[in-house]
Formats: sequence, C-alpha cells, structure tokens
Amino acid sequence: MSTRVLFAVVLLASCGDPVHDAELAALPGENPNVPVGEYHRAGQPCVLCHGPGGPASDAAFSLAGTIFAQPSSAVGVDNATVAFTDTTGSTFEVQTDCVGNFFVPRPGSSAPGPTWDPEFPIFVRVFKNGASKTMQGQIGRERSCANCHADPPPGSPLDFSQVGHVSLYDDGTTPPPASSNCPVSPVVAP
Amino acid sequence: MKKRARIVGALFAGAIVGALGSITTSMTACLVDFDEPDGGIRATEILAPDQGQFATVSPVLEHRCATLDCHGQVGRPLRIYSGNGLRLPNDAGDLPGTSATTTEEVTQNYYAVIGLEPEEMSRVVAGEDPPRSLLLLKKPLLLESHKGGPAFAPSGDPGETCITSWLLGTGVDTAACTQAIAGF
Repeated sequence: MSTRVLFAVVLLASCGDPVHDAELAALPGENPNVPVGEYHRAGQPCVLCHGPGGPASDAAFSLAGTIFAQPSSAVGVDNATVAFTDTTGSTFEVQTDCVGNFFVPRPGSSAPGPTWDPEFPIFVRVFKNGASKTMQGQIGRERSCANCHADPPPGSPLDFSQVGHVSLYDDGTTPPPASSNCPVSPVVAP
Repeated sequence: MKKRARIVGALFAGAIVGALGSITTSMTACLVDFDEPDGGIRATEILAPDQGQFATVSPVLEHRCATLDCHGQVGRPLRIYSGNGLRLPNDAGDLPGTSATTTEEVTQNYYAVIGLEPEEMSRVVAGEDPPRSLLLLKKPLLLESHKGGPAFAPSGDPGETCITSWLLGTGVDTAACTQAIAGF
C-alpha cells in the first residue's frame, strides 16, 4: 500500500514543470491596494498564471499584457485598442482597461468577453485616438507581452534580451492624463 | 637499347613512387594518435556557404525568426542576434532596439546557421541534397514540426528564395532578400 502511495506521489510530482514553477515563484506578490481581478498585476506576464498549469488556468488567456504611456515610467493607458492579426489572417481587437491591462480569453475560459484562439506568428498594433504603435516584429509564440517587454535592472545581463515595457507614446508626444475614475491607481511606477 | 632504357626508367619511376609512398605513410603515422578513439584525426571540417554573402541573408533571419520569444533567445540552437532583438553582450551600449545589427552579431548568426546541422549542410553545399533537406528551411516551411508556426509561405516565399540562393552558391538573390523583410 505504501508503495502505491509513494508511486502516486512521484507521479504527481513529475507532472510539474520546474521552469514554469520557478517563473511563478519569481513573480512579485500582489499589491495590497489592488484586489485580484482585471486591474491586478499590471506589467507582469499574465499568461504565466492565466494559462495551462497556472493557478488561474480556469480563466485562461490566449494573449494578455499591459499598455503603458511612456518608456521611462509605468502609467497605464486606458481605452487603447490592441489589434492582432494571426498567421491565417484572423483578426481580433481588444480595449485596455483603466490600468492599461488587456486580455484575450481562450475558448472555454471563464474570463469574460469574446474568445480567440490565434495561430502564431501574430502581428500586433496598439492605437488610441491619433497615437499608434506597431510592433516591428511578429510574436512568435509568447502569449504574455511582459515576458519580452520587461524592465530589467540596469546592468543586468537581461539588458541584452529584453526591450522594456510596451509604451504607446515614446516619440516625444505628451500622453493624455491617466484615467481619473479608475478604482485603483493606474500608476505602477511613476 | 631503347627497350632496356624504358625498363630501367620504369623501375626508376616505380622506386620513386614507392619511396614517396613510404614517406607519406610514415608522415601519416606520425600524425595519427592511436590513443584517441578516432585515431586523433578530427573530421570536423564542413562545407559551408559563403560567409561574406551571408551579410545579405542575415536580415531575413533577423526579421523572420529572431523575435525574443523564438530564435532571439540564448538557449536556442539556432540563436539569431539582431538590432531589434537579442544583442550579443557588449560594452558599446548596444541594447535591443538601440542600434543596427553589428558585424560581430552577423558573424555569430552565420556560425549558428552553419552549425545547426553541419553534415547535412555539407551535403547541401556539395549538391548532394536539396536545400529543403535542412531544418533551416524545413521548420519555417512547416515541413517539420515548428513551435513558432509557419515563418515562410509554403511556396514562393522570397525568404526561402534568398536563403536557397545563398546555400546553392549561385549568387545571393538580393532582390528576394530585400523583399523578404519588407513589412517586417
């Protein structure tokens, strides 16, 4: 009997993905001022949790991220449109919420809104009023913007492989003010 | 008299050939280290396409394959550096999106390409196998499973034309290479 239990434990343990587990463990904790929900964890790799094997896999996303105003600070842009085109020509648009977060629910997901199951590679453009930004390359396979668009500490080896958070206004134009009627602060880093 | 001279000449020539053979054999014997499993002779030389012409081909791989979530990662066997993606560690301040791909990065890209399947690359360059026998083309054309999906159209993609022209050594099709990165 004890052998069977041991076998079951080993079997369960072997189902884990150590890389995924380490990435989850490396995430910063929740901001106590932001309840868990659509506004939380702005700028973090959403699909790490909202994907297969993640603690929020029931509310899985095909794609998700955060749109910030400028590269030097992290203030979310509300009501920006994120427009995707996948390799088959299928298109999908989604709007950011008041902290700049957006997500595209996967089919079968408990997350609200229309679902989309794109085929990679994917092209993406972000726009709001007259401002527009098109990603120069395609998304090859990554479902979370923040896995590549992160802000490593200066001098880190990751400087050579990460491109900073997504920002809509990095051409010197002044961004519109952040949302004033957001339930939480859209300012992640002033 | 003439016949005798011919016989002597033939014997002389045979002696020279024999002597040369002995010298060659003894030289080879000096080079071989029988303590090594392969006799100490490392057959690592491969046939590779032209390195200079690769500078025209590299942008195709940079734009079509080298996003940070695919081959712009240090852990990939086909690791591709680019100005807008993964940068070769440097002290010059070249970070993603801040400057064009450097000559050193193009060289590293060349090494990544020819080192992916060295034996098969040799066969393709020698004309024994077609370019599509290489993973370099099979993967983006989805002739073999590719996690990043199709990077090239199934037929007529200028990216494939560009790379194939380089592999075959027929002169790089620069127009195709330029067309392959338009819009990327």
